[in-house]
Amino acid sequence: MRGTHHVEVKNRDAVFKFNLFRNITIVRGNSGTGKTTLFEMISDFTRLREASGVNLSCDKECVALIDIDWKNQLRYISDSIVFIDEGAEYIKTKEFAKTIKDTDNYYVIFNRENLHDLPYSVDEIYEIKASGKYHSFTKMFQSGSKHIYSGGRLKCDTVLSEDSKSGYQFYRNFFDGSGTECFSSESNSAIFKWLKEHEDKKVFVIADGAAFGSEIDRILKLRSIANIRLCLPESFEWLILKSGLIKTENIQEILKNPSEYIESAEFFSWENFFEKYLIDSTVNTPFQYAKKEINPAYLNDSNSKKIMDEIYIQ
Amino acid sequence: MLNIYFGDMSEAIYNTNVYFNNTYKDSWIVKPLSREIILEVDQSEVMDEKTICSPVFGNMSPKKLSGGVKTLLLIAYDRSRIFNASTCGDNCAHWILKIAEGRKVVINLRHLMDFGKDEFKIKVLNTGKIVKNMGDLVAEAGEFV
Repeated sequence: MRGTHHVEVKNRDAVFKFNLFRNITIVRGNSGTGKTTLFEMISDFTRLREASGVNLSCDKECVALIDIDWKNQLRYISDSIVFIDEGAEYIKTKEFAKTIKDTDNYYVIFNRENLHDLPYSVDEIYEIKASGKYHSFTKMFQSGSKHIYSGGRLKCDTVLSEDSKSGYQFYRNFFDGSGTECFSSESNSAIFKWLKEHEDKKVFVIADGAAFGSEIDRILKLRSIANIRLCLPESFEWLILKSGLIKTENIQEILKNPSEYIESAEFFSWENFFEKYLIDSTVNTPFQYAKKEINPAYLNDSNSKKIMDEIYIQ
Repeated sequence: MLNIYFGDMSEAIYNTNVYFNNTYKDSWIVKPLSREIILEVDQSEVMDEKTICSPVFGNMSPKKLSGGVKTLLLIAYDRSRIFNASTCGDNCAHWILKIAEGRKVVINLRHLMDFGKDEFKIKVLNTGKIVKNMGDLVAEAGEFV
């Protein structure tokens, strides 16, 4: 599935209206806001369709995952929006992640846990806001300019990159000679531990927002958060594409509206799409991109500034 | 004092919604603490043991209470089990601390619930350490969630 999908669910008591942009959407937030009500309405509709009395409007089939044998139920669901309630313990398992990776559905998961095996975006974590019987989704984490989620005005002495290969090599080169030390955490889940062990440093953290959903909550709650500038662009490859260095026929359209171009069955996370797109677009060109080692063409002053301009003020 | 085990805990009741629906006692609903919790978290009023008046649903069964309220009532009144309190939002945190005033309460958390800016006393069972504020709690428990 690809694209943005609008969902409206109504019964006599409540109306829910929201849009879904990617394959995984997380809904959490305070108790008593209507998460269970929404799930139960979708469940009723799944069992009884229009005879449930629930009015559901969407250009895709909406289904609640209610079978104890979830794997079997998923086998028969395709090109649909699948809703999963917070009582589903299996969503933390590697088996669940592996199973949904190969499907062409979108998933709406009601859960407060950090689901480390699922690559969900920081921009697709919502809470439900209600005004009377009307309910909508509101983003839980909002970025300021330059994709900064915390510490926008902080003067940093250290850069911490999630990436250990081309992205890290690029940042190390960019900050070389500036007095700013550059480190790699080697994974997004290791960033928390690294920051906890270096509370005295003023750290510019750069990680892939496309898959940082399971990490952002605990990072923002660190007691050293005042010493952290958290910067979460989609991915390093997305930054390169956004810089304008790579010219392709449809790059501007793709960057403007990625949902319309990224097939969920093919790409578990948007970062996977942008990586493949960049590699494919630069084959046999001066900007030929490889994940494991940065092409020197990206490292000269002019090009590296163009790339950093999206996330960094000189 | 509040005792929390962070991360996966096989003996904890994970789906508190189902467990509550099948085990709660009518008498729990009309206790003063329950009335306060239901009013604050769900903005609903307890009419009697079997009836809650909700601004959204009108008169309803206690089985229609939010997942967070159900979990709070289980923590308050069912001392035979440990419950997954990650079914509670942050608006339930101060109620959990209140329930744990004066007695030992053990819960399971699979996320970092925000217990607010005030000082508290929580034992992190994974390490045995007692923490007194959110900064210390996150430092002690963050790696388990």
